Amino acid sequence: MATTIDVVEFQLGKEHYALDIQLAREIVEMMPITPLPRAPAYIAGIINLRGEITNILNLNSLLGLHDGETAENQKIIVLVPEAAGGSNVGIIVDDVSSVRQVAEDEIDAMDDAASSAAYVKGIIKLGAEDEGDGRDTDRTDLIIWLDVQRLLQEQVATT
Amino acid sequence: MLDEEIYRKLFVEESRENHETIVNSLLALEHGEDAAAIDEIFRSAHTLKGMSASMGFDDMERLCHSMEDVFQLVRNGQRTVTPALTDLLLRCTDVIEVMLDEIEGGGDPSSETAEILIKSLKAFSDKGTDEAAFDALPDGGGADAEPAMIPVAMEDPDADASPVYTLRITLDPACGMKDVRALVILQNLEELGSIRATTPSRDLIEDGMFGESFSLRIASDAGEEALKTVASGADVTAVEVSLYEQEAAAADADPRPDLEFEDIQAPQKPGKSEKAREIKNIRVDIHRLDQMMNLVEDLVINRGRLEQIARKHGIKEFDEALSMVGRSVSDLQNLMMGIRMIPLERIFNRLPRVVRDVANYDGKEVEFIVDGGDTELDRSMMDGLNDPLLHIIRNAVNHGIEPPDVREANGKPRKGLLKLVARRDKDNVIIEIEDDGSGIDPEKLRHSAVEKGLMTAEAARTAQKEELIGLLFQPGFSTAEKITDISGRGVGLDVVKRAIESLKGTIRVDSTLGKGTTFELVLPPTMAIVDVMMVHINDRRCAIPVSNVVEVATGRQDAIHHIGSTETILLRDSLLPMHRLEDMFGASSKGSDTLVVLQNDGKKCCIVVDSVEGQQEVVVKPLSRLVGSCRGISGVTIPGDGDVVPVLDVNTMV
Repeated sequence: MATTIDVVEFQLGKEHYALDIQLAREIVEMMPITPLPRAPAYIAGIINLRGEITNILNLNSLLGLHDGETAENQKIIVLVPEAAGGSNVGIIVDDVSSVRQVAEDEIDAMDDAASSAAYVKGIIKLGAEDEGDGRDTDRTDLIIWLDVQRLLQEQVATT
Repeated sequence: MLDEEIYRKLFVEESRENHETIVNSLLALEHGEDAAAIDEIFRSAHTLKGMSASMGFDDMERLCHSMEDVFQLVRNGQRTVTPALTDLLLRCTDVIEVMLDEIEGGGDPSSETAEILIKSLKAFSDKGTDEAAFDALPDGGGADAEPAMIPVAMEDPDADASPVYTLRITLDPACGMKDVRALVILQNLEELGSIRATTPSRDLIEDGMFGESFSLRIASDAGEEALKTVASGADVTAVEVSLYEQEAAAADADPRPDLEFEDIQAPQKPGKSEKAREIKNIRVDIHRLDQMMNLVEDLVINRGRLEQIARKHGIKEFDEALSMVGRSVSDLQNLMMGIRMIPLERIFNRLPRVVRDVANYDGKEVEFIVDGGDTELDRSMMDGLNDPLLHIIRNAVNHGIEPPDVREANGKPRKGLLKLVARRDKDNVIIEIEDDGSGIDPEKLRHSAVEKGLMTAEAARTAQKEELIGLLFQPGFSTAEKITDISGRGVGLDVVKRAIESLKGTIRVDSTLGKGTTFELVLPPTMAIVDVMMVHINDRRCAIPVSNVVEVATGRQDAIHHIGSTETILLRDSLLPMHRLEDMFGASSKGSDTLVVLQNDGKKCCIVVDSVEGQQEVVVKPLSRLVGSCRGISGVTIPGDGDVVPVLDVNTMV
């Protein structure tokens, strides 16, 4: 058996994404976010997470996507501080589906320039074990495995 | 960071450790031959020698060197450790300790005692006998010799011609508070004349650290009898008065050797002061201090939250308990702030050197006066203040003060005067850098402004002096005619201004052509906790530092005038620019007539707010690096209700 990787799967618009579970500290329900005047567009605002000021990022704008309609089940994935150079950071996602164990052979590594620019680590193609939960069997479900750490480093901390 | 001060500190700290090692090992040696202990001493003495040599403390180096020689012999088995030798070596360590104290106090130790000890050590290593070691010691080295006098006053002993008496005052051994007794006697005597010297030192007497008796030397015209009467009193068993010869007094004018002497003769004294030192100071890692500060900030936030809950329920007992907690938290907060404060000296001390270097480089003569270095500022601000200050000082020498010849031609003293003054003013720390140089030429500024395209020729012609001086803080604006590697690269004052603003401070320049320039920095002593006024602007909450708020007023619609694109309002006969801050807080939905008048740097303006919530003490946390800097926002805060509220930075708001 090949090695497996644990990822958190979440939705953003119509796409499914995943990030390394080591980067996620916790998942909290959506709460009122205080907007920061004159902050860069990717800063959705700040929240008070048990006394700690946490910067909430808009993943859509970081990935260059359009803001879709606000989903009902929006959640905030709070990342470990190491992911963003020591700052407390959370990202808004439309929904968090599950924590998933992915075998390495289910991942299509993408190493062309286009995927690098989109901060994609790989594409997870759902394997046979997912057939049971009502999904299509022709492997149409793809999960985009994001390189969140690199995304933050290059898009955010460079200021 | 530079600098000698810090090296000195490090040196003292490390040397103390080495010194302690030597003492402990020496004591271990007393209990029997111990090769490890000898090695240890040898190593420590060697390190001490090396370090003192590199710091330029020659006496100490030579003393350590002699000690090292002796240990070398002991290590090789050519000499054995005798009690006499241990005594001698311990006396050396005492001298070293006194030297360390002196170094710590900023002095350069030199000691004749060290010379004597070095000789004894030499004699010991040459002859190898105990007697030899003590041959070289003069009488003063004997165990029961009278401690020498310690002069207390700095005045010239020959300043007045009054006869000098030596008094020996013996107190009743049963006397309870001999320190107080002694103090009273000393004070009474001082009314009759000036006390020249005391044995032991006056501090020790006042602490009660003397045996049954102490002696002093006093210059007085009152005569023996009067002195004797004044000196005797309750608990005084004996007073001996004798006339002291002037020649001897003159010989004793140099306090140094005596001081050293007293110390080596009183081994119990260093022991005591060492103990006191250990209790008085502990070293704490700055990170732990920061962590503590964070905890205190959390406490302050949560106290606010509790207060709000208390208000909702109105339970009397709870309120009482809370006010107790509140008081403790405030005390803790103040204490914490105090601990984090360090005197400005820390950064001022390196400046004289900078002035000297720049002045030498430019061939200028500058007298640099620093005042108020004991003014305290939060540690976190020190780092940020260093570079701007350095820059202003360099600028002042480089561009402000003229070459000596030019100064003379202008009827000024050859030597330029540069003053750096810090003081505390209400809630602010003010730092002024004043030079008596050429001042800033408004005409030059005018010219430069047009040339660099910062102003139209029209605007420049009509611009006020203040406006022109403000240009100095524009990026890329430098009027220096020649660019040196010390200052004047055109990246100057704008960087300074930004640095000061990031410390929530302001900078102001005042200059008179031909007379000089004054830079004034106004800084809050600490950044962490501030009083803010909570307001709602266009349905969003915002905190404004109370120090920026002048008043809350109601503006009538008909008092609003449009001058060009800016709205202004006439309020009590003064015309204030009015800002709606729509780009910061979203478009206003309803017209509000509540105005908050703000002032910053002497300039007033007002903003429109929906409502004012009240005043609150909050902890301002800086914005994360992720966000970068948002103009107009200095940080965020969590008031008692757990909301997150941005704090308005009036400085950069518009």
